[in-house]
Amino acid sequence: MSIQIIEVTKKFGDFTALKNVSFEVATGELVALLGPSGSGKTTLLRVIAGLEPADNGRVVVHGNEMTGKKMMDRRVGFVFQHYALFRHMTVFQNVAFGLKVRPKSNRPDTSEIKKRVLELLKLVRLEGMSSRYPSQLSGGQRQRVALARALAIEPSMLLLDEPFGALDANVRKELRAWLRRLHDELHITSVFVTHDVEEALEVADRVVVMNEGKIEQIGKPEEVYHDPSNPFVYHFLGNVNLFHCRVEDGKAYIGDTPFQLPAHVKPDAKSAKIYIRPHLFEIEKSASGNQSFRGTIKYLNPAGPIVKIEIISQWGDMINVEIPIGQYYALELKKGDEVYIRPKEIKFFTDDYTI
Amino acid sequence: MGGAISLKSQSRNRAASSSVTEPPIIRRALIGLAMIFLLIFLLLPILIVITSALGKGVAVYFQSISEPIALSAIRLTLVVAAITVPLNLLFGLAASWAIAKFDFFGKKLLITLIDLPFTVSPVISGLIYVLLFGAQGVFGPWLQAHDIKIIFAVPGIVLATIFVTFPFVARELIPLMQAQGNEEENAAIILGANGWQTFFRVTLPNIKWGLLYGVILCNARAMGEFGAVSVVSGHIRGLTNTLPLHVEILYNEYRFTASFAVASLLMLLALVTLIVKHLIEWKTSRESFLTEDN
Amino acid sequence: MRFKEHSVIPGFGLTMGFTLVYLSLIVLIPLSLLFFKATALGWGHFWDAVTSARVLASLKLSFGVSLVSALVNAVFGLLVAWVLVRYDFAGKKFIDALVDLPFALPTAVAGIVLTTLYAPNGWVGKILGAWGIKAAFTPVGITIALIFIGLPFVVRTVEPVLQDFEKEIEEAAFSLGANRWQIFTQVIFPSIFPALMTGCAMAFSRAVGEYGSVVFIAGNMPMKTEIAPLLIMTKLEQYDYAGATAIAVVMLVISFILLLATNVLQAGTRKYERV
Repeated sequence: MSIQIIEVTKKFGDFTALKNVSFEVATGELVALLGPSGSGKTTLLRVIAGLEPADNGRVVVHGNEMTGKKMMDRRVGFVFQHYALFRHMTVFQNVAFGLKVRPKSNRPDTSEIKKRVLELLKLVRLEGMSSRYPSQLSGGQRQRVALARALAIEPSMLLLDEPFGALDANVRKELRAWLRRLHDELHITSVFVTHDVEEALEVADRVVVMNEGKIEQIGKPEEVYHDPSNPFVYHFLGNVNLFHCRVEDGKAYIGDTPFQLPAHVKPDAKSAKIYIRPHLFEIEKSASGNQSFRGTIKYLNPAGPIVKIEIISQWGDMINVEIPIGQYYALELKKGDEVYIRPKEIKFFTDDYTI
Repeated sequence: MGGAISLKSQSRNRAASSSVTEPPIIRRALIGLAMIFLLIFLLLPILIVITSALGKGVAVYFQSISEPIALSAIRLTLVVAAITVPLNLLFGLAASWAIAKFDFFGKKLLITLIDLPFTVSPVISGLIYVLLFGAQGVFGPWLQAHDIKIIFAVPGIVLATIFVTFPFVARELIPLMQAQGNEEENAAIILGANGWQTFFRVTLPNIKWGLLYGVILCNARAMGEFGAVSVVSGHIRGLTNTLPLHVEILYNEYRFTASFAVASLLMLLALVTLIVKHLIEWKTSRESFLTEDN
Repeated sequence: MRFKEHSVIPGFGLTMGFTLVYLSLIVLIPLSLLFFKATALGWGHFWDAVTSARVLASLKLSFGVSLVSALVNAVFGLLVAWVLVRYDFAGKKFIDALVDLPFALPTAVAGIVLTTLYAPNGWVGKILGAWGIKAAFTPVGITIALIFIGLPFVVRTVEPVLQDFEKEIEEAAFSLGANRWQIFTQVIFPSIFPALMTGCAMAFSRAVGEYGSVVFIAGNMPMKTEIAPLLIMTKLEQYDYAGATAIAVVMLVISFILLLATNVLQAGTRKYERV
């Protein structure tokens, strides 16, 4: 069941949540809508579900026009951030709900419903919990019930709104992996919304990065991380050091250190921004080549597999660097040391032209 | 179990999005049905009071409310309220402080006791004082010997009114103070304030609107109490008739216009109470809106 | 087990002391006296006083019409609360304010107003008369008066629960294919049922003891439209303290039992709250 979103716009009063958004989800794909609050990702999900009508544009699922169709006819499985389980019903009754409320002509008989519900509970590894109430379950268990409930109606697509947002960090990690495995097994076209970058990059087949109602970039996780198309995506997807540099004779200068401009940058640009991720620096005790610059270590945090270091550069900027713990031990770094850092990979963006 | 209608707490509009609510026809039908029900039960009474009170013209209206026995009824009602409300205010403050700021054994029982007047018929509320202080009551002979009149006199009316209205202030303040928690008071104490300072400077400003509403409600009920007062008052005109009792007397004498004229004063009191309640709700929702991260 | 948990906040002794003294003087002593007096009667006299035909009729009437009015208020109170919480319409604020009127209005005023309205020549009494329904001076009139005073209890108890009802739960039910009626009966109603019961119980309790609003419209005919509180009043005027006390005790005991039953039922339905 492929999903096509075509030029969708949505306003709430004066606020435009979605500005002419278009993209496609292929059948069986697991896509993440990633972005900060207010980016429109949840609104877009709700438009796809039919919870909100779009002001303009169309939603097409598997070739069928969904725009204007009631939610009941869309066969959407929706999972909410706070589970939205029916408090006064047992786990079994919750999962069976979608089947029980079908019109008589369509309704499977009681034994059939029972069979399906138990199957689903087994799938989400909650067999034996059928007669518990939501208040007796943990957060992670509740979300699994919500998922089973959504899957019970055999939806054409699965939509999840920050499904793990309300859970503890380690439960989140566990359920993330589990969702990925579930999807690999079932292959239902799925779209999920998150503001957690790690989650999107870990789980999704493709990531749609959104900001202020527009799509900034769509691509596989590696693409959007290593090949961001604009500063926003770069910033949002991870830590970054930003250097404003002047451009002279086809070279960009960070301090006094020249860097060759890549071929596809306009040669007459006056200034440029250079982005370097913290883990893409090499720390050395002495300068190697003319692309190193000098700095003093101001702060070190070696508590973890990656050591976070704050270095004040020779011209006074603060630079965040991350190196593996092994390297830290090898170099025997201390606070106050003078070191040389050399970028291994840089991203250029000029002010008027993004690459 | 309680009976007080309390101020609405501030929760944001939870109306479901447009795709998830009833079709317009059903909505309109339900609104219409509700309005008809409310019209019959709520609006008509107000209209009746107005039309009946002014039925014989404005002059008769003013005459009805300014004749001597009416004036003495107004005076008595005001006196009773002036004694009852401050006493119940003190009780409300004390009880809510004890209940909201401390954890102790028997708290639930205490709260139930405070709710008691709501479950007791007003007539029974008056009855118990007659049993205590009436001519054949426990203290009856002793009171007669000392020529102290409680039943069929103002003290009895005050007592019965206190019984019926003392929960109002407490029931407004207890949930309010419980919701606000003890942190600010704890902070004040740690900073060196004593109990009174903490109460006046920290607690009081936070509960002022709930307090005001509780007082207004207590007052409305105190001035309007009928059943309990009816039992203890003896209906002695000019002496032990409150406004509501006066309304009854006029009505039973078939002086309908006068009865409604006096009733209109009480109706006015009720409407003012409602208006004040909504002003307070509006004010508190504005205040919380401005301080929330909206 | 400690009586009071430790706290840095002062004033417990003072406030608790004042509260207890106040309560004892105003409530506990007088009320226990009531029960004392009743037991002093001796079981035989008590039983006679309580089972006389007139007393039984008044008790049956009081509890009967209170139940009917509480149930009517349950239905219409829910309707009003629903409309006020979920819809927007012209005059909503005004109606919302008006719902509290029966609570703020002195009972005597309510009494004369309702009588005037529903008397045979009153605005509504005339209309009802055309349909052959006599309201004033009948149990019907009493029920109507009790509906009036009980209305705010149900509405104001159900409103906050409806307001706090998460819209996501409704949306979930919607996404699973339920229609509006199914959502209301299977998802929303069970959630608000405890509050509805509480409001209903409060309305009932108030109705049973109501005096002022009812005595004018009832007509107060013994055995027919004489409510229990009025009977108590009558016996007092006849200095039949014993009789009055007996009826009062019975009313209190029945109300107390009903209250207990409601609380137990509620505790039962509450067990899956607080997710």
